[in-house]
Amino acid sequence: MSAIAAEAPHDDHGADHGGHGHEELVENNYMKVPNVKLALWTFLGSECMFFGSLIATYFFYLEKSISGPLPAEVFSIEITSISTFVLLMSSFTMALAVDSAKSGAMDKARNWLVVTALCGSVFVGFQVYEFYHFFHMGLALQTSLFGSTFYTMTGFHGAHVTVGVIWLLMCAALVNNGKIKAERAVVIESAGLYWHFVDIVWIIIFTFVYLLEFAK
Amino acid sequence: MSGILHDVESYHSHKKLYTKTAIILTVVTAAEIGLLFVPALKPFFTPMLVIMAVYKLAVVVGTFMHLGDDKNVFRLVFLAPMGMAVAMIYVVGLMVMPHFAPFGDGYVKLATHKSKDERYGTGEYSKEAIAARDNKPPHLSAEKYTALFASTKDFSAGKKLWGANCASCHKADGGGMPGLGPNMTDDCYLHGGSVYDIVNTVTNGVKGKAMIAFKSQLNEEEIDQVALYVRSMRGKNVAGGKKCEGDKVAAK
Ligand code: HEC
Repeated sequence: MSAIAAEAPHDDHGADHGGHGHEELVENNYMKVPNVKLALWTFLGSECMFFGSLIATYFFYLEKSISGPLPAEVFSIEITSISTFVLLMSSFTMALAVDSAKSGAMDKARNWLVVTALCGSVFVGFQVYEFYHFFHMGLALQTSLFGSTFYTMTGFHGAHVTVGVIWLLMCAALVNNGKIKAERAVVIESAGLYWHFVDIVWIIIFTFVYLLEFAK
Repeated sequence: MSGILHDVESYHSHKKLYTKTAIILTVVTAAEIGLLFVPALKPFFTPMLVIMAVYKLAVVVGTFMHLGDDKNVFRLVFLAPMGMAVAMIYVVGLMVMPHFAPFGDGYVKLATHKSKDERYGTGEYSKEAIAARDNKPPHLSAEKYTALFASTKDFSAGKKLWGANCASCHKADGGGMPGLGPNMTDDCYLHGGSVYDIVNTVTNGVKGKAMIAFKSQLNEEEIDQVALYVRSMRGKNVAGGKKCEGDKVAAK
């Protein structure tokens, strides 16, 4: 595989697709995969390390705070269970959005994207409420090792969900305008990969940070 | 250039599979939460929760993200860092977490590692418990002290000790000082007026007040002597003494 061969796909720009660029779809000649998807998976790989560090740091400092409030004092299993369920279901609606797009039902795809974004917003809403509540129970970012590591970890997760919501709404708008057609469903699929990843990070945080706290 | 653009015609919907997956995820999550309400399973909480979380993760990655039947390169770029992240969480995080490490108490002991009780002063580390542990009970019984007082005629040893150790706060004549020690010559006591009580107060002091514990400065015999002297002052009601603090006891 020479460098020239790798450049080759650019040649059919314009010719086949009437001037619409499909750079994100350009197949990587060597591996036969859409670039956008490869980029997304690689990005998610780095995200594993990112959240891995935050979670490891949380555990490292767990039980080493010298002043309260303690995790078990602030966590509310009911509220977190509800928001967890909402996020989990948003993965389902996201899968349906991708499935609809791939089946050519772009209206449905747009609707599912909006529903998914709504679920994400509900999750973020719960998190804002949770942070507000914890703060008023005396847990600030600088209160203790628990405060610092907990807010950093869950805060970054919440930021990811927020970015995801914006991304999904952008996708929905583009689908609505006809800018994303079924043939480019991989664009929605990629947004979906990001969304599912954010969901699995929460699966880990929910179990290891929240539930294990109640299991002690 | 086949493969770049998605082909709608050849696509088969996965709706049924996704619905099934959503149901599985809901059931497992409900099981995770429900588990916590079954105390009998407590010893298995951690392993069961871990297994269920890993299962959910695998289901989402395998079905929703269909990594299982996608290209190898995706598995490589995603699962390799994920493996490293898991190893990092395990090594850096969980090994120092006393509740999690598989070999008892965690292999890595940090210098700062203290139990929750120690850190937050609860249970056996509460202020009360520590004070109780530090307190040294008088070495004779209450009856013996009362009998000892009844048989003692000479309080001069105690008087000397009083002048040297106590007069600075309670005044040489025992009348007490404003803002410092209470009057010993009235018949009022904050911490009990029997010889036993006085020995106890002098030995262990009054926490949070100027009255310090004398157990490390005077020996048992000296404390007995000064306590007997304090008891002998009761009812003298010296002129200019502080007014009554605490409960009145029988005057003699
Ligand atoms: C630094 C000042 C200080 C010195 C020195 C001191 N005391 Fe006290 N003492 C106090 C104070 C203040 C109180 C009152 C504590 C309270 O408010 O509960 C007190 C209380 C007492 C009580 C309990 C009185 C009651 O009402 O129950 C006794 C008995 C007593 N002192 C004996 C002594 C003896 C004996 C000595 C010398 C060996 C001594 N104190 C030395 C400050 C002092």
